[in-house]
Amino acid sequence: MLAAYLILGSVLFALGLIGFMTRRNLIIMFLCTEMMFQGIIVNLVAFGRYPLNGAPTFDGQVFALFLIAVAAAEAALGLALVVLLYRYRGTLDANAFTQLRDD
Amino acid sequence: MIPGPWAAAAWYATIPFWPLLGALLVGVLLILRQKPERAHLPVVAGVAFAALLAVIMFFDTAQRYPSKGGTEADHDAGHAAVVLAADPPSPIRSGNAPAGWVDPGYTYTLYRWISFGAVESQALGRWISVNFYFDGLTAMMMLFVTVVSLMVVIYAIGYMRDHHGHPERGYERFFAFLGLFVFSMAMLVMAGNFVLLYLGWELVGLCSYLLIGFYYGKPEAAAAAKKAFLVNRIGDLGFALGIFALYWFLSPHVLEHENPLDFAIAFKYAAELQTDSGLLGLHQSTVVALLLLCGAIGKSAQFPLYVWLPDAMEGPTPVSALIHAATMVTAGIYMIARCGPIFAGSPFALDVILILGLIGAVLTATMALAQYDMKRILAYSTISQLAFMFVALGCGVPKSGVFHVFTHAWFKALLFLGAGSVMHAMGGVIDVRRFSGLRQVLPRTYAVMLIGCLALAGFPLLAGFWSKDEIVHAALFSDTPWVGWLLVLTALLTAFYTFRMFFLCFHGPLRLPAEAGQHPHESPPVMLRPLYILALGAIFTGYLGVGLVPGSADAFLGVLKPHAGIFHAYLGNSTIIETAHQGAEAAGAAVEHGSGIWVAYLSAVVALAGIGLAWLVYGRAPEVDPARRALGSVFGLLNAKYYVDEIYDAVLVRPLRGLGKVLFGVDRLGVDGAVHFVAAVPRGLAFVLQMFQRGVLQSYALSMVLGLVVLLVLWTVIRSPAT
Repeated sequence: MLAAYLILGSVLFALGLIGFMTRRNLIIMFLCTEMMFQGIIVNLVAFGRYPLNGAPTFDGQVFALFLIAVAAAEAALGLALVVLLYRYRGTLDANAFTQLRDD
Repeated sequence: MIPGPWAAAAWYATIPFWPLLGALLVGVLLILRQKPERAHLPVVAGVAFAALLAVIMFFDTAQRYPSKGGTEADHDAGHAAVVLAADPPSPIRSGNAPAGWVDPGYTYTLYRWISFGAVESQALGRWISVNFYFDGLTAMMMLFVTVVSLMVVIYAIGYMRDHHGHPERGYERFFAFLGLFVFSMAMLVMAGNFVLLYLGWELVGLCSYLLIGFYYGKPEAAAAAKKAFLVNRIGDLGFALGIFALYWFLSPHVLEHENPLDFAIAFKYAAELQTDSGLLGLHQSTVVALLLLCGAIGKSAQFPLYVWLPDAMEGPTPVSALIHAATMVTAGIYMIARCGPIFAGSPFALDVILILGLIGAVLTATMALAQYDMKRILAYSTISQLAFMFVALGCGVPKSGVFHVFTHAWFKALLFLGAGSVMHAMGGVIDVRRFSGLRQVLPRTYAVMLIGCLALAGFPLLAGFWSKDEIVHAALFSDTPWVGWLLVLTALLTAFYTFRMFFLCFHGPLRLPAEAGQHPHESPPVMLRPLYILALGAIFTGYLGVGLVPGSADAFLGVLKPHAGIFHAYLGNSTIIETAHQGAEAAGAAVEHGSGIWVAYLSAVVALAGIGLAWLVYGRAPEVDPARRALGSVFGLLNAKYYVDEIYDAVLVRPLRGLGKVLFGVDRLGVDGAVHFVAAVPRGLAFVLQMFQRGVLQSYALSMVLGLVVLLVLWTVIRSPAT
């Protein structure tokens, strides 16, 4: 059963990654990172439920909860940044924000 | 510390710095954005104070060296031979080597400048000092350098203004450069060692560049400035090598603390230079003398480096007067006279000077016959007269050469400033074909120009007559009398072309160019008054070199004896050495016994003949040059100055420019290419890396993903053998 969960997790992660790299809209990219988080969380929960050796523990679930908290904080911060950037430039195209590059 | 008669030496040592101070003050005025109308004040004041000090120095030196007669023979003739006990013994005046040289001058050291040799022995080691050398030659040179410069500077106040009396553009710049020029020349003349001499030497070169190119917007002026500078550099290279050679040859002989480049030291040991230099079998003194001569040829515009001087006419007229009369071109003559003990030791170098002088004198006198530019005719006459001085130096009568420098300064400044006055009235036109009869509209300029032209032509009893006569005299009585006859011919040509110019300008019917306007005006007093003073100089300075012969009343001219004036007594107490090389003593003896007086008559006749011939041909100022028809193609050759410029261009300039282009190409492709390639490699690498740092979010993400993939692959590859 573990394999099915892992496949689901990696599919979610891969989709998020592809979306992050191909889309230009900051909101969509932000959602894609959330999707990658979800892929990882599915993996963690699966490892918690089906341990590779020994009795099942709650380590995976704890990490999952932890990660959800981090994702929530990141979402709050990230969305705030997105709003600010939109105000600053009037667009959400990621290519418009290249001020931090090394010249 | 300072000997009695030189108590004021500290004051005399400040002479060069007053013009410099004036020039600097002009700069300060510029910074303070003062009105340019006042820019001449500091420079005029500075030069005037320097001139005052120089005049005092001249009379002070005269006290120190009372009239003793020019030659030993004069002592016997019973001249007022008041010899102070404090007087240094007179230097040897004959013989080829300055053995037993006694320093006649006084060296005043301002401060020690450059030390050379071992660092630990600095206390005793050799130093190049900023020191000044005072003797008769210095005092005499400084007299005319400062006074004539003062006249030129005052004249420039009027000249550098437009018709409404407003200063020309660059007025303040002009006066700053003039001040610097006078400073440079004073440093050159007063220098007590070769390094300081070289400093002044280069500074006058710089100032001539700045001033000839004063109208730098004009292509001809810019080219002339460059030409003057570059041609001078050729000579200066030789001069610098000469100084190096002198140091090299003398260093083994001098004492620990003696600097072989100090005049007093160098001349003391000049006799040591009579050894083989190992170069073409020449003596060391010959090598040094020939190299120093290169510098003199460049600065004094002698054959073959004279080509810059006529072109230097592109500068404003006061500059021409300054270059031709008081500064720059006199430097070469001065330097050879100053280095008498070295040149006296090298008969071969003296012969070279003589030959170059002769070529220059005849060549440029003929060129001047066919020129139409008033200032250029004067320029060629300068070269010709300087060549006269060279002949005098080569003949072993440097005192007469320096005397001609002295008188020439006055009347040549007068002629140039007079030509400037004509140019001023003619609206800048200087071509003698375009105007005539100016005597009617410019009576005062006419009068002073007449005096100047008569002096240059060697008209009897004017300054040029006495000094030129002395040189002709010495040459005629030397062991090569044909030199003297060539000089007589040159003197005839000089009288002819000088008055050709004069008659074409001032005589005949009144004809004016359109540029002059309806009523050409005489120059303002600020320009005319210096001319009057210079005219006095052109009349009377010759008498400094003339003495009275007691009891010889066989003829009027016989009473006034050349070679015997206070001038020669003066120069007797300097580093100038008259050699027996060409029989100068014979010349002196001939005058002494009255047998040489016919030369003076000959000079007078020659001058009058030249002037008369010019009157016959040009007296009515014809619009078409009669000589052009009479001489035919020869005239064309003369007018084109024997195509010397063109020959130089074809033989030297073009091949050198070609070589320069080749070398430039090699430099560009080879040396620069290698450097640029080395620089291009990191730049290319940076360009590749830059692509990953574009600031686009996705590209960073991509690189992270790719990195992750690489890590995973590596991980699997490394892990796989173990499992």
